[in-house]
Amino acid sequence: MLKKKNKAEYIEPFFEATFEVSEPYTTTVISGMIAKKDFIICHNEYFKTIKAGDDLSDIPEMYLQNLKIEQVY
Amino acid sequence: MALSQPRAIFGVHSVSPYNRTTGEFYGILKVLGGSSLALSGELIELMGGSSKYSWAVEDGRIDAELSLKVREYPDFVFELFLGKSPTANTAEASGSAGAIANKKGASCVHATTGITSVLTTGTAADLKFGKYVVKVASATTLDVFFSSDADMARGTNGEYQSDLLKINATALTITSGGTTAIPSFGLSFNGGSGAIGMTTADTATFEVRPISSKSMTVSIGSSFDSTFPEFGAIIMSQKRGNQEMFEIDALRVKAVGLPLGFEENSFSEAEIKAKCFYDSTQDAVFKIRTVSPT
Repeated sequence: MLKKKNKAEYIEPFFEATFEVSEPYTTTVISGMIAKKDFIICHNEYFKTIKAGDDLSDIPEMYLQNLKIEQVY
Repeated sequence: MALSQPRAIFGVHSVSPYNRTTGEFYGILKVLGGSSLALSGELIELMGGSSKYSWAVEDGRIDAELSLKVREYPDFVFELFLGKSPTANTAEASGSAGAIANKKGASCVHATTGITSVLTTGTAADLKFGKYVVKVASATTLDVFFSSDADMARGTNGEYQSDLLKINATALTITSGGTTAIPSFGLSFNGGSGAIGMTTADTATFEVRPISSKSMTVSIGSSFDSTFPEFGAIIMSQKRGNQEMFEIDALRVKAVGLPLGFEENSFSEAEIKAKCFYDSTQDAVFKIRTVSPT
């Protein structure tokens, strides 16, 4: 979960993140990009073990399609 | 006048099969355990009455069989004795990865949603000789299995990860349009152009040759593409101490079968039985020449 003050900062199209605004203009909580199941990305030099519940925001964009197909998020 | 030196045959030097149409040689066999032309004949006897002995004897069939004990396997023996001409490859400075083909299902090798090819990108020195099986582990990942560890230490050492001969520790991720290396094996998979989506448990296979000076491939046993050619063969004895040489030219020979022995700590020896038969053009079965050079 991330907390930011400026809503515009969360608009990152390829993440397709959803936003939950508990108190407009003051506190914003992001949900989305959270792993629903375990998965391992093993691709050349890149290796990442993902556990259910992990934040996926640091996953390189090129793997997001794989994660979506694998229904990791 | 003193008696002549007795004529004798000592050892075997070579067998050189040749094309009966063109006269060209296929090659030469020199690592031989033996070569003998057995000409066993049959006598047909007339028996009858109270005589304990034959009334008459006539000559029957002669079985002309050429036995070769060969301890080498040049390309042409597969053509002559197993009916199929091999494909010989010249030196491959970067090794070779054969075309990958689906074995089970059709999702593993796919232009858009699977892998399109196997590449010898990476370190060519790591390429290891053997047959590889690719099995889809999940929609976008796969495992790789390798037929034998005989060549596993070439370049960077490879290592089995399971008793089922898997060579990758973690399922390899295939990305759209990207390449995925098989660590330590000098190989990469090319991902399809679209979103990857394979079917779990589908398989595909391919073969790899390491960097080599030469190689050969032949598929034996085709139901429609096997031809066992008749050939001629020059069998040459070893040159004796007195220079005497003995040569047999078998004019028309046919053989079928080539044993391939994989025995513990020994070289394979193929014992080949060939039949020599009548050549009407030369009105003979075989020709013998001998010479005692001075």
